[in-house]
Amino acid sequence: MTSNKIKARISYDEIMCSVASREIKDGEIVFVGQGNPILAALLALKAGKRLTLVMEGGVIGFSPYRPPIHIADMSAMVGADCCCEMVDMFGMFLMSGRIDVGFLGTSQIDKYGNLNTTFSRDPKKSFRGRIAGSGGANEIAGYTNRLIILLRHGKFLEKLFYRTSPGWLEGGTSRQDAGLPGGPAAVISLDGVFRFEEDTKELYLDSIFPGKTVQEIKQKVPWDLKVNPDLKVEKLPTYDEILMIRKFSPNISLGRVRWALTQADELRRITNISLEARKKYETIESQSISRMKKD
Amino acid sequence: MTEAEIQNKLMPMKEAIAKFVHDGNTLGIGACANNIPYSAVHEIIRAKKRNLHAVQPTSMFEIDMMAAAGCLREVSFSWSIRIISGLRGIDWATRDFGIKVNDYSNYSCALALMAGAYHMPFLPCAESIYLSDINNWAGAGIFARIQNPFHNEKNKDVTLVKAINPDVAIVHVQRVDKNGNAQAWGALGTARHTAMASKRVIVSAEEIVDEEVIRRSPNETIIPSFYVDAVVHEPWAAHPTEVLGYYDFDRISVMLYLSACSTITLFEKWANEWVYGVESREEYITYYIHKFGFNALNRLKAKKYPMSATYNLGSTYQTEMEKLNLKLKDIELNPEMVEMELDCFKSEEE
Repeated sequence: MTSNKIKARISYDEIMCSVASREIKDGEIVFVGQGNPILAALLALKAGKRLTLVMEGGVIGFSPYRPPIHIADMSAMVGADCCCEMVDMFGMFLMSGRIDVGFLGTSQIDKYGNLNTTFSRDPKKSFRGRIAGSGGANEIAGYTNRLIILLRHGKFLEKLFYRTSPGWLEGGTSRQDAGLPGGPAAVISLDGVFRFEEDTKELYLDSIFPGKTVQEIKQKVPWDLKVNPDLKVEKLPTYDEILMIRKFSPNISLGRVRWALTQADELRRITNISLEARKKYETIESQSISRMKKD
Repeated sequence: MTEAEIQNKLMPMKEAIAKFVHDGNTLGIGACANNIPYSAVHEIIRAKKRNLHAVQPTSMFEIDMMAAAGCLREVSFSWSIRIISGLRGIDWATRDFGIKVNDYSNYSCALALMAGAYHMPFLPCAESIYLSDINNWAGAGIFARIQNPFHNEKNKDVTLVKAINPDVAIVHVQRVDKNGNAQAWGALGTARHTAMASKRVIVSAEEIVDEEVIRRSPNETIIPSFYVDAVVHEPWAAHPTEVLGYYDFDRISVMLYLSACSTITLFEKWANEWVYGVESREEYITYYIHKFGFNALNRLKAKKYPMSATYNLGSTYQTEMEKLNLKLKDIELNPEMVEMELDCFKSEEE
């Protein structure tokens, strides 16, 4: 077998997307939000898996032409199979247990996969405490069969300040006892993939990304993190995958700062073009006015 | 409803807000992330309405704007956009103006509005609410826990969410007729339930169309006319969010707002330019063109219109008389009939 190796610079965000895409199986219904989950789903689609993508604003069976910015993005609504109301989306489709995979981001996560996206610190002490809020996260975490948590900026904490979305609750059978179906299946950070133990439901490190060390990851976790005895190193994404991610969502590859700069460029470009257009328009207008005056 | 009242439904946004939104009202914003009635929100800020209670599951910047402008006393919502660095209006406004914030999840907030729309006192919501701090931290009168009356086992308790009935709802749709039959397409969010739950409804629309157009696709009507109190013809009313088939999300306007909402001085500078500085939505768009040029606005316009597939709304148009092949004199032969003297319509007399 001849191997065609290409040297390329890739980001851990791109590795995260490609690893997340492998979590999705053929024929599944996937609840996606904006950002990395949609890229993961698109990579899975590209790999030949037949998926139904679902979005909480009320869009079913869509394939966007650009990364959606929010939960009812125009790019997703164009050419979707079904558009409905939010209460239908949650009440009928999610709570019926038909959604196979759900994706969520978070800012804090504990040992048992419970999430906090509402308060980062005590709102009574600091007015900076409030973050995004629950949105649909509470029910998505509660009712999808397999929840995959993408941890881009989030922190591991021994105890959450506020539990927005239930994971495995207090571990063990506590989630089943409380009557919730499914549960978190994996946590994918920019360092590696974490999974939950069968019986205790405690988080353990299952595999790491190339270039990362266990020591480094353990420092980010406040409790004594368990590590899979046969720890794997995740495969790098293929060149085609990288190309697809970059074409579809350049901001993932560019990074936040450079992305902001391109936005500023866009503004400058538009205003410059418009300045020219306005000048042109004004000259045409002044000419026509002078012509009218002559008549 | 009298003829005059139907005629009076068409009005500019200024009049609609002055007439139907009063200080202290509960305001339902019938949109989730798209079709957001910014024109109405800006008008509420301009009209200096105070002590409002805003209800909306997923808010982009509208609750943030109203909070920063000092219009709100209470907020019931589940999500608002997060800025990685810097503060939002809602952050400093809750501290400075003492706004009470009620946290919901999207589903429970949508259910509260649905309960309001169906005139139920409450609805059972997802069990995941009870297992989270949304329930534990919520103030009194939002969630409650009762025993399921149909199951006597202990672990069959249900969590209820109290209905919300706003005083006035603001909704933006694609098209409406002058009577107020509002049609929208795309993801609908909570527009329908918010409108139905409210005592008053203000509808703004991209287009005002004939009743004939509405009747050609009655399934797209999300709010029937008798719910609607004010109809406002307001193109670009949802800018900077999108309206399917009309225009796209405007990142530049959003960035302008996000960079301005972190302090009160910056917010006021922004508001003086984009809200207080203009009189109406028309002036807002004119100012946008003046500032960024025609191209900036044109690039947002929906380019291709993949028109919806047409479907037959026809019938056989056969009346019962035609079906049974009857003449008027055939019916008159019924022996059970009693002869009486009747007044005829004038037209038939002639």
